[in-house]
Parts: sequence; structure tokens; C-alpha cells
Amino acid sequence: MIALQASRAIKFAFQNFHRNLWLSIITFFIVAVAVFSISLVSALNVLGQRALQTVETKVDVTLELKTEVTEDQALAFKDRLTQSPTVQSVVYQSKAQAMENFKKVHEQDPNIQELLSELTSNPLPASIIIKAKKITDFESIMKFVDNEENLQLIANKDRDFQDSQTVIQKLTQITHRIREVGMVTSGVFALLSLIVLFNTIRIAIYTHREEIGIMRLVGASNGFIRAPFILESLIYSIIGAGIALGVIVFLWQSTAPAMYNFFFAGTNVNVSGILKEEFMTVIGWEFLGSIVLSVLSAWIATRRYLKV
Amino acid sequence: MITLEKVSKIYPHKVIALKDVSVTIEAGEFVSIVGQSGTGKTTLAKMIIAEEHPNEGRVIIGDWDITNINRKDVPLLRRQIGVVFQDFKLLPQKTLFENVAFALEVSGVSHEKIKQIVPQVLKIVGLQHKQDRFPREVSGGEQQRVVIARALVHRPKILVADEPTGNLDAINAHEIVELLLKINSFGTTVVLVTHNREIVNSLRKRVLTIDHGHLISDQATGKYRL
Repeated sequence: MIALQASRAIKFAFQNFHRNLWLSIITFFIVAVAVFSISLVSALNVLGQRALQTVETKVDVTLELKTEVTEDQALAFKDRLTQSPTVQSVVYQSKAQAMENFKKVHEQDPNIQELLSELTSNPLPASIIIKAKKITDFESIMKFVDNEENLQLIANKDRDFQDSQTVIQKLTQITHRIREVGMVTSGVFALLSLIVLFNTIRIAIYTHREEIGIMRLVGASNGFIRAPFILESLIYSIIGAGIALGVIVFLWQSTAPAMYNFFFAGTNVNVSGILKEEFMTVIGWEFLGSIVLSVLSAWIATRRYLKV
Repeated sequence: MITLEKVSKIYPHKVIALKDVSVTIEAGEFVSIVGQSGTGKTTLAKMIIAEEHPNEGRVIIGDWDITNINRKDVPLLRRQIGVVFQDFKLLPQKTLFENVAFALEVSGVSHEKIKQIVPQVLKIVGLQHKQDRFPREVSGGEQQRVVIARALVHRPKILVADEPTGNLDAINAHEIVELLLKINSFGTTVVLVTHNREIVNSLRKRVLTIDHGHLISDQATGKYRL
């Protein structure tokens, strides 16, 4: 009996779909547009967040060491810093390495190359380069550095040290703001899509309101009437959301090189990897959400016309 | 078979649809309920199919007191009563065959039985050759015959026809009444709600007359008196 009623519900759902083809196409189109718009905003949000993370991981603080600091002292300082739980990495760059890097960076500049060839000694200082786990951790790292023992080793404590702190504070503020704007924008679009999706399904069912009443008068139970409408809404959401999300994935993959250049130039970020690691989860939730919302909308909309 | 005991229906703003109506309709009877528009005839018909509920009194179908029928049980009641409406109430997106079949589908009748029964019923109402058309593709008279076929298909013991000829011309109206008489001759109780004087007078069957919500006359072989 249940199998028979289920087969009838499926038959009626597809019958409704193709016998009201124009309404079905419009409904499906609106569902697709709603899901597409929220997905687009989510995609930009995911990319933006990843871009911020990349910027944050690129932030480091270079502490130039005094010329009299020995390599053993420098390495001991490095070890002390490495033990801090907020430190991501510490690199010791000797004077020789500093010169090597400097030469490499300016190898295309003949003037600098000429100047360097005339030098009799290496004027570049050794340095310690610190990266924090989170950009906000720099504050505690700086406090750690800022003690008498450590300060005796550092050459640039009065100048760059303060500049770094200010820059980091500003960057932290900006990244927080961008994150907040991203979340609010996504929230607003999610709400708009939700309202559009909900009302689209309701309108589609509204056009059947008289039929629902007739079905009740002929002796159909609420479940028997409701099931095809819920299935029809499922068809709209599965096809509509499926195509919208398919288009987003296609757009993402086909514009991955352009997005890399725009957001992540000079980094080793894999844009297609972000799709698999992060955005597919967002897509999955959006797909599931649109299905649940469609079913809920159909349920609520039919309830109103079943009171005969 | 159908019993109304001191039934009253009063709508908001003290609009009286029915007041203290008591009547019993026996199995196999053909009863016409007559009266002018807005006198409560349709309210009475709606009470038989639990589309309306009385404020006072009781409505009993067979042994079933449906006065305060549970919403879940309403479909069960309606599957046992055939209903014909003035405005047809056919499902516009279904063919004539599917409209008739729908009344069986809601009861869980198998595909095989439906394929067997529906053409027979459509043949009775003379529409077997148009079974694949949609309601908009046939005339008003034909639509009403489909409604009758739908009402009959699950072999109800009671058929309630609420102004079935209201939207039809004289020839089609006559054909519909002939069909109702034929159905009654098979043993189905027919309750015909109408304000068509000629039809009621030609039937020479029991007539209940309602005026301003009151049952003012009950004649065994009556005429339209208002």
C-alpha cells in the first residue's frame, strides 16, 4: 500500500512538473538564481578569507642583531623564541646569508652589483625572522622579545621594532573588518536567498490551491495530497541548486588562474585545492539547505489549502 | 441512512444558515432539497460531507456520528459519499480518465482495477471516447458528466449533487437528471440540491423545502412551492 501510494506521489509530481512546464521552468530558474547568488557570495567570501590568511602568514618581523652578537648567542635567542607556543617559525639569517640574499634580489641591477664588488667588508647585519601562528600573536611575541636580555642583542629596537608593531596592529584591524564585512554580506545574501526560495515554492503551490481543495473533497488524505507537491519542490531544488552549484564549480575551475593572479600572486596557494578543501563543504551545506527549505516551504504552503 | 437532528448553523455576525433542522433520509431515496439562493441548502449538503459542521444538533451518516468528526477521518467519509458540484471541481491538469481515476487512487485501488473500472464508468456517462481529453477541451455538460462518473466510481451509497445543473443548458440539465435517476435506480441514495423548479416538478420525488434556514416543508412526492 505504501509503495503504491509512493509510486502515485512520484507520478503526480512529475505530471505536475511537465503539465505546468512554464511555471516549473520559472520556479526552477528562480531557485537556481537564488542558490547561485548565495554561492557566488560564499565563493568570494571563501577566497577573501583565504587571501587574508595568506597575507597573515606572509607577515613576519625581522630583528636585526648587533654586529657583536655571536652566532651561538643568536642561535640561543632563536631557541628561546621557538619554545614560545605562539611562534610559527624562527629563522636565523647570518651576515653571509643576508649578503647572499641581497645579491640574489638585486642580481639584475648592475649599479648595486658594482657597489657590492667594491665593498671590503659585509655591512649587512645578521637577523632573526619571526613568523607567528596568528597575526594577533605578534603582540605577545613582541612582549617576550622586549626584555633586557633579548634587547641587548637587537640593533633595531628603537626604530623598526615600533613600526612593526604599528603595522601589525593595523593589519589585524583591517583583516578583522574584512572578515566581518564578508560574514555580514554572506548573511544578508543567505537571508535573501532563503526568502526568495521560500516564496517561490509557496507561489508555485498557490497556483494549485483550488486543486488541493478539490482533492480534499474527493476524499484524498493530507499526506496523499501533500506528497507530490513536496516531491515536486524537491525536483526544483535538486535540479535548480544542482545546476547553480555546477555552474559555480565550473566558473571556479575555469577562472582559477585568474583568481590566483588576483588574490594569491607570488604564493604557493592552490586555488583548485581551496575548492576541494573548503568550498565543497559550503556547497554541500547550500545544497542540503535548499532541499530542506523547499520541503519545509511546500509543507507550510500546502497546509494552508488543506483546511477544507 | 442520513439523519440530521435539530441541526443549526450560525455563521459570524449572526447569519443563520440552518435553524433546528431535523430530517431523516432513508437508504435508496431520491430527495430534492429546494429553496431560494442563500437559504441554507448548500450548507446542509456540505454538512453531509463534513465540509461544514453544525453549531448545534447532530449529523449521522449510517451509524457514524460525524457532528464533530476528526479531521483525519474526513477523507474516509468522503470516499463513501459521491459529490457533484455546480462548478464541476475537476482537476484541470488531469485528463478525464485521470480525474475519475483519482477518486480510486486516493483509496489505494490498484492500477489494474482502475484500468478496468474507469472506462466502464465513463461509458455509463457516455464519455469513454473522450477519456484522454482535458476538462478545458470538453463542454460544460460533458464536464458535469465526468464529475458524476468520479462521484460514482467508488460505488458510494450516497450521492450528493449540489446544483448540478446550475451551469448547464436545458438539454444538458435534463441529461444530468436522467443520469441521477439511473444512479438512484441502482440503489444509491441521491440528495439533489437545486432551485430549478422544472426539474423538481418533473421528478415527482420527495422534496424538502428550506426557507431562511428553516425546513418549512417535507413532501413525499412534492413540487417546488416557493
